[in-house]
Amino acid sequence: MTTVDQTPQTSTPGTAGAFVGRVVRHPSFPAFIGMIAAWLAIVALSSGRGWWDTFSAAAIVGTILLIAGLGQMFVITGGNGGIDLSVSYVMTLSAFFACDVMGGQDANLVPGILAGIAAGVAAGLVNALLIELVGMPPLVGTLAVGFTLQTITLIYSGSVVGVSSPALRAFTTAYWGPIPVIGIFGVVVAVLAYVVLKRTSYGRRIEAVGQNAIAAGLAGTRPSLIRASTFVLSGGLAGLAGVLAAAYAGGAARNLGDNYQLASIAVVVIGGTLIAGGRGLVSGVWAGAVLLTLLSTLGNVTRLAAGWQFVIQGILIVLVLALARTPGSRR
Amino acid sequence: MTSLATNAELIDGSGGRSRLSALIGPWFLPVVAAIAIFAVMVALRPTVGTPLGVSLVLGPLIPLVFAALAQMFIIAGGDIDLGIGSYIGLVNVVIAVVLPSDFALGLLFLVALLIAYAAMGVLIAVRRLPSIVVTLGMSFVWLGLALVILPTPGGAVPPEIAAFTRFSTPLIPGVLIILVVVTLVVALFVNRTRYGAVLRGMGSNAEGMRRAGWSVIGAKVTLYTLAGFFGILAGLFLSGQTGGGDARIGVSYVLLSIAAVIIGGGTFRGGEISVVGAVAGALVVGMLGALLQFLGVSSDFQVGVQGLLLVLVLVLRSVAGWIRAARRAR
Repeated sequence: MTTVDQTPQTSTPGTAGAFVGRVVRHPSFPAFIGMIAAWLAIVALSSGRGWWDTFSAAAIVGTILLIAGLGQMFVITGGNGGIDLSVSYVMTLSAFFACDVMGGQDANLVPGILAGIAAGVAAGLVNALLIELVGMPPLVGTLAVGFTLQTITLIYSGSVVGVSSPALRAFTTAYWGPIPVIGIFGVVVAVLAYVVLKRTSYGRRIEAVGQNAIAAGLAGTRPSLIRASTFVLSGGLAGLAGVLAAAYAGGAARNLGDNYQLASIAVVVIGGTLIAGGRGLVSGVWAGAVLLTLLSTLGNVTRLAAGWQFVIQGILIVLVLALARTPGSRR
Repeated sequence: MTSLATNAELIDGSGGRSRLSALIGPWFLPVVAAIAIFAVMVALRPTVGTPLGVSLVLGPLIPLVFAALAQMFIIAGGDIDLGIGSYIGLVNVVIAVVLPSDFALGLLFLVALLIAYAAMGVLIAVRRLPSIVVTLGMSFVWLGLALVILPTPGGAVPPEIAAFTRFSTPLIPGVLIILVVVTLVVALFVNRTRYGAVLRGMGSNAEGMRRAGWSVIGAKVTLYTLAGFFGILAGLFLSGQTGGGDARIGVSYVLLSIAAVIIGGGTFRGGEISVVGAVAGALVVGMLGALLQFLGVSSDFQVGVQGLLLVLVLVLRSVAGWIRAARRAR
């Protein structure tokens, strides 16, 4: 499995042509182009929708998807068939748990958020144990955990009045002048994820393990421990995403996470992250999240049936995968 | 995992025991488990043992058996299919909505669906794409198309199809005949024909098969076509039993079919499969659901219990692997 970093490492500074070339060749470039295309299409097709309103609305919903997608990106980048299919179920359970603790009171805001994240971390720990200790394939382990969580949510949610704290709800819909606050929060989380992945020894180890676990092991990392940590990270981020999704909607619902199982993977794939592992792209996940959100806005603007929206999303993912320049290894 | 373990047994086990374990094979445990669960059900409700009882208990499991066989062919190729559930739902909708209004168009639709599965195999094999993501993406295409045709549950399955899926004889329940015939035909094809061996080899050593002169892409296409075929059969029988159409009816078959193949002795790495095991595995997970209903457990728990069973089987299998490895090390 030879993974070549597609980003040119050296470029002649100062020449505009070299800079443009670097941008165009960047693996997350198609996601940004798609994002802008969807944006233009919405503005063109809907009379009266402002440029900025369209984008900022997408940035709000996109942030929730971004956070779930970043967790997925870490897991996929760790390689070894890493994938987290429990994201959607973790989000729903965390949403109910956080709302239960908050009980609609601002006083319980911090414990509520922490409870939601903790539930996600716990689910991630179970995933990590099943996959790295028991040796289950990530797909089966996370799916089985996901279905178990679904059952827990089904039973637990019957006794919960899922109302989020008003302050958190206000946060998800607040604007600083023209800029949505949660959009800034999303960018901050993305920058943090970038720093962790590309600028810390821990992040470099995730990519190294994803590229070649044996070589990384010989170089002194413990591949299974690194991979296990990505599942915990993904669980925690999915928990946070669930808390935010519940706050944005005003409360938790049993179908809250439903769309995120495919979408969290889609944003990673569309963003140019190698599905076989070894190279994560935070900027791509961000662009992919906004792109997917804009696409669903586009579907609503054109009054497209929900069924066709699913079809388009599915085909888009398969197309991006099929056209990607570096075909991943099997599975 | 299992292939390693089997080799180890052949090496360290003395004569008789290894021959016995080779004879028993990975399908043995799931078959015993299926019989045991059925026995418990008969003990709880003796009427289950009558031909009518057998039909009523096993009948609803036929679609799952076909779904498990579909998943088995994909796993044999070293892949995984996350789209089989939505695919079965789409087949159900086509049979309940398109077939009654225009039979030829409905038939054409089903053929197109089969070709679509073959095409998916080509795409995955030629571009070496990860099957998880492709089939997950396609699952939304199937679900989306089904929702376009039938946004809310409805439609009516033609009575001929319903009658066909419920055929029975006075003496032997039709369900048993279907189960035995299908299992025998598929098992003979997979285990006793030359191309069956090639297909089984694709998951464990595609490169070796290629060097032996077999087309890897051809084998992948065959596997995906077979999976599509059994997916359509699953949808057909499901339609006959429910009598109506519902785009989301098949969603639970993704986990259940994977669980059936794994419980039936299949492995992901190495693409090892057992036909008898997969059928027995489907009966185990399916009857477990029915047993829970008998015991008065809420249907809310079913998916969780079936998920836990899958986890339990895999945990036990890896514990058995550790014990074997420890014994070998001594």
